[in-house]
Amino acid sequence: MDALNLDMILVLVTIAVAVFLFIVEWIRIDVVAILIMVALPLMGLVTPKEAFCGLSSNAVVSIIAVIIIGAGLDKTGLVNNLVTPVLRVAGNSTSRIITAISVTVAGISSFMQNIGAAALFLPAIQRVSKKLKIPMSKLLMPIGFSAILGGTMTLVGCSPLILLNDLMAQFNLKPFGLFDVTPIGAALVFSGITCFILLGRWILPKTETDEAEPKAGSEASDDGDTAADIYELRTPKDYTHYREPVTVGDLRERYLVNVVAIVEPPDYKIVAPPSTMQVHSGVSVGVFGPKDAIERLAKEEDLELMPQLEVFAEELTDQESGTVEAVVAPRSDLVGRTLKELEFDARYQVTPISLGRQDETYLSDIANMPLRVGDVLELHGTWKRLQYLHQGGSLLFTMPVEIEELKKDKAVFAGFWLAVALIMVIVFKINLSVCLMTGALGMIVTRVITIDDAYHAVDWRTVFLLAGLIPLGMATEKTGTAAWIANGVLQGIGPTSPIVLIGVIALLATFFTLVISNVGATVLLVPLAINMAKASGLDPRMAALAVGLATSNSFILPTHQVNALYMGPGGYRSTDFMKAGVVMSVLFLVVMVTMMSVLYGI
Amino acid sequence: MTVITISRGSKSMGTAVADQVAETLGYECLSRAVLLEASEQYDIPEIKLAKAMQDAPSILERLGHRKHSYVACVQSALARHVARDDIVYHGYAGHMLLKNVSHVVKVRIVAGMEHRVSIVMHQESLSEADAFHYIQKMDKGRQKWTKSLYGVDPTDVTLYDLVLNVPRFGMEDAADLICRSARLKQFASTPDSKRDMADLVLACEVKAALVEEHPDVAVTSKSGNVLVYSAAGDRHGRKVRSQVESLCQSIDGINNIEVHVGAAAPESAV
Amino acid sequence: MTSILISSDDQQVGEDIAHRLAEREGYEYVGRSLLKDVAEKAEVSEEKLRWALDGTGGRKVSKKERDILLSYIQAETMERLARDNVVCADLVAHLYVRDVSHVLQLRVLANPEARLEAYAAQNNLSRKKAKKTLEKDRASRVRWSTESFGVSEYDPAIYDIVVQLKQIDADKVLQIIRDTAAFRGFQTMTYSRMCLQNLLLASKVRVALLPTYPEIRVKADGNRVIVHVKCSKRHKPQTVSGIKELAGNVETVGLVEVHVVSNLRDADVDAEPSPITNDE
Repeated sequence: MDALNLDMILVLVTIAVAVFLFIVEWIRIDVVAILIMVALPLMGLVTPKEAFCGLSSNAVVSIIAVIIIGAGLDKTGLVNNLVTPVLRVAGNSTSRIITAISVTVAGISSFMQNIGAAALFLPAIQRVSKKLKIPMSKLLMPIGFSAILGGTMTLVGCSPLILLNDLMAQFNLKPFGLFDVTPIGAALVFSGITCFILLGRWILPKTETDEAEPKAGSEASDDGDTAADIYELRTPKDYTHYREPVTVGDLRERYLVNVVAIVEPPDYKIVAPPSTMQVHSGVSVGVFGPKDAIERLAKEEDLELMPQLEVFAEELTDQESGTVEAVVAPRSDLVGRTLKELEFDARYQVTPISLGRQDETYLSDIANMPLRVGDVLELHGTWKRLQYLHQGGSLLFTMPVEIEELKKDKAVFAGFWLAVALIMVIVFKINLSVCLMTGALGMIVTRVITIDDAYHAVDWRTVFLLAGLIPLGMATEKTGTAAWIANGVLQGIGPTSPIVLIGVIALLATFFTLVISNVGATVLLVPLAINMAKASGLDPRMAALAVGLATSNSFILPTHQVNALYMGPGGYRSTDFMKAGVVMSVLFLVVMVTMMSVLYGI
Repeated sequence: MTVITISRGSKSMGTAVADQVAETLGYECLSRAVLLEASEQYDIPEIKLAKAMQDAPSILERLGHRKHSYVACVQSALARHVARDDIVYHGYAGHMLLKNVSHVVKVRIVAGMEHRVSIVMHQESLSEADAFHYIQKMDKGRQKWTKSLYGVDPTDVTLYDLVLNVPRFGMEDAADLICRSARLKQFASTPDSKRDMADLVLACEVKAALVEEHPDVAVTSKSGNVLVYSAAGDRHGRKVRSQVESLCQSIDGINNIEVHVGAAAPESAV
Repeated sequence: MTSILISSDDQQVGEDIAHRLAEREGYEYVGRSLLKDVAEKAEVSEEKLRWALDGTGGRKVSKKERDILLSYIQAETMERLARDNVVCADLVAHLYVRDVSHVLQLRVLANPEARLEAYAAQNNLSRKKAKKTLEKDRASRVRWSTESFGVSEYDPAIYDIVVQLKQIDADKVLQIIRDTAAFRGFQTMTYSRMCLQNLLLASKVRVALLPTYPEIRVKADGNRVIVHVKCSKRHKPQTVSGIKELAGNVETVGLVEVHVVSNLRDADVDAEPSPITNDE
């Protein structure tokens, strides 16, 4: 074993600083990665060419292509179209629904980014929850975990596995094939779903009722007074006399109802009026809210409650407008900002009704609440306006099927190009990144997705994270730091059987993925694991594979993007994830190590 | 219904003016009685409340947050009292609490330093220099108190509708001018202003109920829709929420109550 | 009859109230147009007078020059005030007309919200920036008034009444002024008129002395003028004789008393500005 030298010390310091910055998040993780990309050549640990080779690595190109392909599938509604037949098969049974959707999500996640698959299905799951009155908390965690597990089914299912072959290349190890991990991944998915079916009662959070809470905007429930609906009221002719002007915002603050339409004298109708708009005398007002609040408003403000919609009969019908539940997407530009700052109502001309976060629904002053990933915003507006908002991509929600602007005619092309990419990999055994980029290009050329939409869809944060960490992995190996650490660890744990060593590596990967992201953990641990394997006589490919798989074992904390996204809509707390996550994590390790042992004879 | 708050510098004839105004208008003159009410309702010795309303919190007191709790109790008693009647209030920082209610006339009484020094010299039998220091010390103390609890400088004239230099007017003319201002249409109570007052009472009550365990909360109410703002993290927010749920049963008039964690409280929050 | 001095944190607001008062109650209005007369008499530029009054102009106006320019304005304003029945706005008279009982000193504060919004809109600034700018202006004004007159313009104790235009509107302010002017304490008396004359004489003597002796305090009592001057012991004789000569040339000056001091704060001439008062 080489003695510790300056280069090794520099690498260790760089790793320590990177890990620290990943944990504290003082600087964004992709910026940290770029920092590393620049610092390594400056410290002479890698050459300039090596420092930036990450940007052109197979892994990064593959990730970009996978994202574009996923976006193309999304645009055509190909994925959404799966929901209906899946649900038909599942029927009304909760466990069958969980199984059916989980399997579907896992399957899709094996070819798309996990978060992409999870986000794609969220609106559909909300629809199912509402329709069949199954609490979201019963559905989301199993499905979310399946999305993560599904990423272990193919070599393009998640970033760590995409990275694996690139990281192994510097050790001249034989790369893995696209479906080499499928048996292990399938076993993980199967065991994960089974765990929730059998143990869900104990590991999922308990709900007060077994029925889904009736969400405002849905059909009026049997609790007539508390279900929200649209009502039309009329202000008296002397409404503005001898009083301070009353605005739309004032009515909201006082009665927790929302003015969704108003007449500006003499007869100009406005849908989704801004909160500063004054309510005049002798005008009609369309208000959304629970009946008891509407009645209180009518009584205290002396408004006439009309028996049905008259003035707004056209504008507020289901054909023209409605409510949606929109979830704040990961990496949305809304995160950390308030609706007021964003001038949301003026910009999009929709009315925010309520904000759902974890297990609370907020009605008051929601415009001043900084938004978080997973927050559920209930919005009312014309379909046209909601469509415009939907296209922005910052919020995930379902539009009515007849309104949704999907390129259904392009679905065939989308499917075709995905098939082409897969055939190129499986049959012709062409390099993965080339195949995937061919598929992506095909989608662009056949206008399944425009090139600008493709650029927009790519998550550059992940790209730069990968590109920045790859040279760090290189430096770790080049300087002998990986070998040094590996030897240190092996000396620490003493002589062990290969299966125990795989278990130790998997445990390390599980721990690191919780604190420094799956990509960071993969880049740092693959060289280490390979060196450990070489030193102890284990097949190094197996050690690398253990890292690549175990970095998906991220269930205990809601740090994984999928968990962060589902936390809000599911009303979960961190303790809920810990409870289910511990069980899932242990199961994951056991199944993974067992399958590796069975398949590869370790 | 009109409420007049008279904020006064020490030794500036403020009490006499307040009494005169109350007599002329037939209003109740209120100052220390608020402490008694708060003491009875919240079962806290009056002397502790008086001390809390006079001295700025020491470092230890700041850590213990006890003073915030006492002040919240006094505010609650004041708001409740003021909501009932025509009042002239010349006690502790009433104008700060009532600043957003439109039927409250906020008056400040000032006097030149010479005048105040001569009063102190006469009352406390001090030399001119000592009297000057005495007044400066009292002024500094009040500034510190107001700043620590409300974040404003009490000498900022923008906090008031009217500021009168009493020695220039004489007590009676000063009181007369205040009475005339109070009779202005603009200070008459309206249904909206009464509602604002009722909301203030509610917000103060909720705050008084929460502040002992959660000194950092700020509370607003709009037509019985109470918002509790907590600057602390989600975990703390959950504790506040669990306590808040029980308040709906014990405090009347709450239509809806929410706890907002991490959102900035508006200026009008108690 | 009472004279009224109106000061405001918003020039427009102060002028508006003053004009309306002059119109309704028959006062003579004295405002910025005075600067034209001052410029002609003193043979200085009107622009510089405005700089001195607003505390702007930066390095274009030195402190000495500013004091001289302000003394011209002060003298001319006092001349007009001495006529009685005057409403004066926007000439910072509230900073140098002290202790004259028949002069009502009123400060009108603009509605802060409306002012902030108007300022932000006018200067195309965000609310936050506008607020910061206004706060900076205020601090600068406090500094200027303290340096120039030893009194902070924002100290409420220097006024008789301060009114905020939030719930009390401009019409009600006029009513308040009318009511106050009727109080006995604000009626013109022989003594108060005399105090005004003394201030007028003192201001004229300052005009005569400032160009040569920038560090002075002047007080008048009848036709007796008391001058405190800061200078070294070495220059004392010529300073004293110089001042006596210059001051003696001013109309109606009888006796001139000169006191040489090392620190002008020792001069018991103007009333000390009242420190800010607080709640009890």
